[in-house]
Amino acid sequence: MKSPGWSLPIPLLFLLPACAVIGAVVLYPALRVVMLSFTDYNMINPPQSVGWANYQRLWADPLFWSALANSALYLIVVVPVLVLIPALLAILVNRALPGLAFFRAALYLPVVTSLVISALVWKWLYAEQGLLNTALRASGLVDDPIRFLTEPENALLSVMAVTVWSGLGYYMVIYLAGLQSIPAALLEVAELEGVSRRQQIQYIVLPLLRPQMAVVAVMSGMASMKVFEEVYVMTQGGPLESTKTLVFYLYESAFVDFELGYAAAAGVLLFILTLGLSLINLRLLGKS
Amino acid sequence: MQLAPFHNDYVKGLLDNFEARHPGVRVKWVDVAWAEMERKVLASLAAGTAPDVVNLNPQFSARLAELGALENPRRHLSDQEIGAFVPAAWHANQLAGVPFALPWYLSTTIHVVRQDLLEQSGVQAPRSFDELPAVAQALRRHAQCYAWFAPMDGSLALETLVSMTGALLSPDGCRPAFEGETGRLAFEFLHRLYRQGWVPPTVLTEGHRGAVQQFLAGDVAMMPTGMQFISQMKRTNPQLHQHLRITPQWLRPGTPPNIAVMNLAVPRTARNPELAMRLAQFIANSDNQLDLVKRVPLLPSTRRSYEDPFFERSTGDDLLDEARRVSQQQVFEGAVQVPPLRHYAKLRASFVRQLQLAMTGRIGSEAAIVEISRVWVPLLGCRK
Amino acid sequence: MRQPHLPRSIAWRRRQDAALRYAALVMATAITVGPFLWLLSTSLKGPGEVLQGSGMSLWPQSPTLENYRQVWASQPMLRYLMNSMTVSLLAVGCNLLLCSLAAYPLARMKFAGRSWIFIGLLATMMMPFQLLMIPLYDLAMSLGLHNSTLGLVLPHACTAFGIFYLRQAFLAVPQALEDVALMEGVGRLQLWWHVMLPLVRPSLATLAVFSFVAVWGDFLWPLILLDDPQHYTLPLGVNRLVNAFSLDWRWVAAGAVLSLIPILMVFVFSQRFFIEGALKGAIKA
Repeated sequence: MKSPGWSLPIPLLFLLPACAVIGAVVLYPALRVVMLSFTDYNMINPPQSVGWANYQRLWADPLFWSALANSALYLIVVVPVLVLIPALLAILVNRALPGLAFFRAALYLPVVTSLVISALVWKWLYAEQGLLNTALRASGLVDDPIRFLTEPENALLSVMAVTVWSGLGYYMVIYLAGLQSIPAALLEVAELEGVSRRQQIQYIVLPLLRPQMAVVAVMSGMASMKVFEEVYVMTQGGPLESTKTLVFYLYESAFVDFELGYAAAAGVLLFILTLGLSLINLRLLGKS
Repeated sequence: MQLAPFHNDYVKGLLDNFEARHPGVRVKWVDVAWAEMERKVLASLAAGTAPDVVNLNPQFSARLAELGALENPRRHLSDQEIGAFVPAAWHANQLAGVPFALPWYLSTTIHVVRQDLLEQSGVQAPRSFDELPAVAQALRRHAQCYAWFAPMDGSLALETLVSMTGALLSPDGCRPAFEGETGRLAFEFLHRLYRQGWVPPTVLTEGHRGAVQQFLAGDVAMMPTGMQFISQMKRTNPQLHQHLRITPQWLRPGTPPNIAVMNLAVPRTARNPELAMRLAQFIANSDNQLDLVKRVPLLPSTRRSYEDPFFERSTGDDLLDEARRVSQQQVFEGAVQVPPLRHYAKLRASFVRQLQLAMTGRIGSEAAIVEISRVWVPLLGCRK
Repeated sequence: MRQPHLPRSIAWRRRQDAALRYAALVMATAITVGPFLWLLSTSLKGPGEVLQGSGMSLWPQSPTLENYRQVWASQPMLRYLMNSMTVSLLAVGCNLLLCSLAAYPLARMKFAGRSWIFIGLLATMMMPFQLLMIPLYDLAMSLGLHNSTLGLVLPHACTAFGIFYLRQAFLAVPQALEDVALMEGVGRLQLWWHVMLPLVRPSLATLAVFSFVAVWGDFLWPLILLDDPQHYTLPLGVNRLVNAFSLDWRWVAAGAVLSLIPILMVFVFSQRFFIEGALKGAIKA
C-alpha cells in the first residue's frame, strides 16, 4: 500500500544525521571560508573586510598562475595514467591462478600506507645518493645521478610518480569490481574464435569498463587537484616553485604568510575550478 | 620547544621551583616539535587557547609582534633584570625599538668541517669566502664531494649574504645593502658555487636539517651550523666525529658574527600577563640559564652566566669544547645579522626566490637584485 | 563448465598467458612493495652501516633491532597505536552507519530537493581540507573538542564519498526484492536494516576498509587539533621522530615500520573481504 504523503519525511529522516554532520564539518566551514575570502584575516586580529581586493591580487599574482599551471599539469599527466594502468593491473590479477591473491594484496599496499610515510620513503629513494640513483649508476644506465627532486624540470614529474604509485591499487580495485560484470562467456567465445588476448582486452574488456573509467577519471582528477602531503614532505613547493600545487600555495598563504583572507580566495577559485573540471569530465565521458 | 623527552627532568625541576615560589600557581608544559611550532601557535592564538608563555624563534615572534600579539616585557621587568642580558640578545627581540620577548638561549654560527676530506684533498679549511673556490676545486677532484652547503631556510640565506656583504640594509634602513657592487659580486659568487657543483642542488629545497643529513652522509665537506648540533651529529654518526673540526663563521672583514637567539614571549591573550612574564623572566634568569646550558650544548643570553667556571671546564668532548669556545668568542662581538623587520616574510620570500633564480642561472645577478629592491623598498617604507 | 579437452592452441595460449601474467605482476609488485622492503632494511641497519651512496647494501649486514628498541623507549608508541585504533574504529563505525542511511533514499526514493542534495554532496567532495581546517578548528574549539577523540572523529564521521559509494551498491540491488517487501507492508527502516544492508555487505566492508585507511593515515587534522602527546595518533608520532633534532634515519625507518604494522595486519585480514570481495566468484575477464 503506497501512500504518496509518506514520500517526503522518510527520505529526509534517513538523510538527516549524515547531512547534519556534513553540514557542520564541511558546509559551514566552506561558507565561512567564502566570507573570509572578502576579508583580510591573519588569525590574530579580527577579519577586516576588503571587498574584492584578494581576488584582484590573485589575478595579478604570477605565483598563483604558476601554481595553477602545476596543478593543470598534474591533471594532464596523472589522470590518464591512473585511468589506464590500474585497469591493466586489474585485468592482470583477475584470475583464480595460484598466488594471485598475494599479488592483488601487494599491489594494494601503497594505498593503505599513510601518504606521509610513503612520501618520506620516496624522498629517501630519490636522493642523489639514494637507492634509485645508486642502482642506476651501478647498472651503467646513467653516469651522473639524476636530480629527481632538485631539478625544476624533473621535480613535478617525480612527485607525480609518487601520487600515481600510491593510487594504483585503489583504482585497480574499482576496476576489479567492474570486471566482474563482464560475462565470462563473452571472452570464452572470443578466445575460441581465435581472438588474441591483446585484442580481447583492447576491443572487449576496456570498452566495457567505461563506467569505471568515468569514475576513476573524476576521482583521480579531484585527487590531483588536492595534492598536498607529497609536496609538503618531499619538496615544500620547490625547487623554484616547480612543485607548488594550488593546495600547497593555499597552505603557504594561510600558514606561512598568515594571509587567510587571501588563501580563502585562492581556495574558492580552486573549488570553482575543480567543480568545473569534474562537470566537464562527466559530460565528456557520459557522452561517449 | 623540543626539549622532551631528553630534558624532562630539567624542565620539570624548573617549573616545580617556580611553582614553589608562587604558591597556587600551576604550570603546564607542552613540548612541540620545531617544524610544526609556527602553525600550532598560530592556530592556538586564533582560537584563544594560546599558552601564556611561548618559546619561539625571532622571525616568527617578530611576525606575531607585528600583528600586536605579544606583550612588551619592558612593562613588567625591572631595568636590572633587562640589563642582565647580553645587549645584542636583548636588541634581537625588538621590532622598531619595541621589545616583544625575552631572550633565552642562543648560539652563534660556526662552521663544522670534515678534516679527513680536506686532508685527502691536500687543503686547509677556508677561513673566508675568498678561499672557498680553491678548496672546493680540490675537494671535487680528490674527494668527489660537494664543498659546502648553504642552507636557505629561515633567515639563513640572508645571513649568508650579510656575512658576505657586511650589512643587511643601507645605513638609513631604507634600501637593501646589497644593491651595490658588493652585493652583485656576492650573488655572482653564489651562482658560481652552484654552477660549478661546489654546493649540492639540494640547497634549493633542503634547509639546515637536510644539510646535516648530507653532511653526515659524507656528501658535503663543510657547513654552517650551531654548537647545539654537534652532539646530535655525534649520536647519529659516531665514527665521523673524530674527523670533524670547527672553524669560525666566514665573514667579510668588519662584519660581526651572527647570533641566533631563541626567546620567551608572552602573548597578549595571557590571562595574567604579569605572572606569565615572571615565569619567562624566571626561566631566563642567569642561574637557570646556566643550569640549562650545563645540560644542553647552548649558550646563555645572560652576561653573568659566562663568569661561571663551567665554561672553563671541558665537556668531555673535544669537538664540543672547540665548538663552544668558538661560539663563545663570537657572542660578545656578535650581532643578529638579520634583525626583526616589518613585513619580514615578504622580504625574505622575495630575496630567496630571486637568489635561487640567480644561482641557477635563470636570471642575471643584476636583474635579481633589481627585482629584490623593487619589492623591498616599499616594504621598508621609508619616506624619501 | 569447462570442456575436458581444450584445443591445443588454446591450452598453449593459456600457459603463455599465465607466464606473461606472472612476469608482469612480479615487476609491478617489485615497484609497489620494493620501497617498503627498503624501509624495513634501513630500520634494521646498525649505526655503522652506510645508508646511502656506493657503500650501501640492499640488506643489512648485521641486522639489529636496536633502532626499534630506541624508538619504543623514547616515544610512547603503544599509546599512539591505541589512539589511532580508537579514533579509526569510531570513525569507521559512524561512517558506515550515516553513509548507508543517507545512501538509501538517494538510490531508491524520489523526493523534492533530491538533486540539490546530490549537488551539495558532490560539492563537498571538492573542498580541500587545507581550506576548511581553520574554521573547522575554530568550531571544534568552541565546542570544547580540543585534544579530544570526538574532535578527531567528527570530520570523518560522514563523507560524501561514502554516500556515493554505497548508493552505487544499493542501485545494484534488484528493485524486485524491495518491491516485494514494500508490498508486504515492511517499513523502510526495517527494509534498510534487514534486507538492503546484508545485500551490500561487500561494499560496506570495502568502504569500511577505505575509511579506516583514510582515518588511520590522517595527519593534518590531528596535528592541529592535538597538542597533548597523550592523544597523538601514529602519524603524528612518526612525524615527531622525523622532526627530532637528533635525526637518525634508522630510527625514523623503525618508527615508520612500527606504525605500518597495525595497518598491514588490518589489511591482511580484511583484504580477503574486499579485494577478493570485488571478485565475487566469477573470475575470467
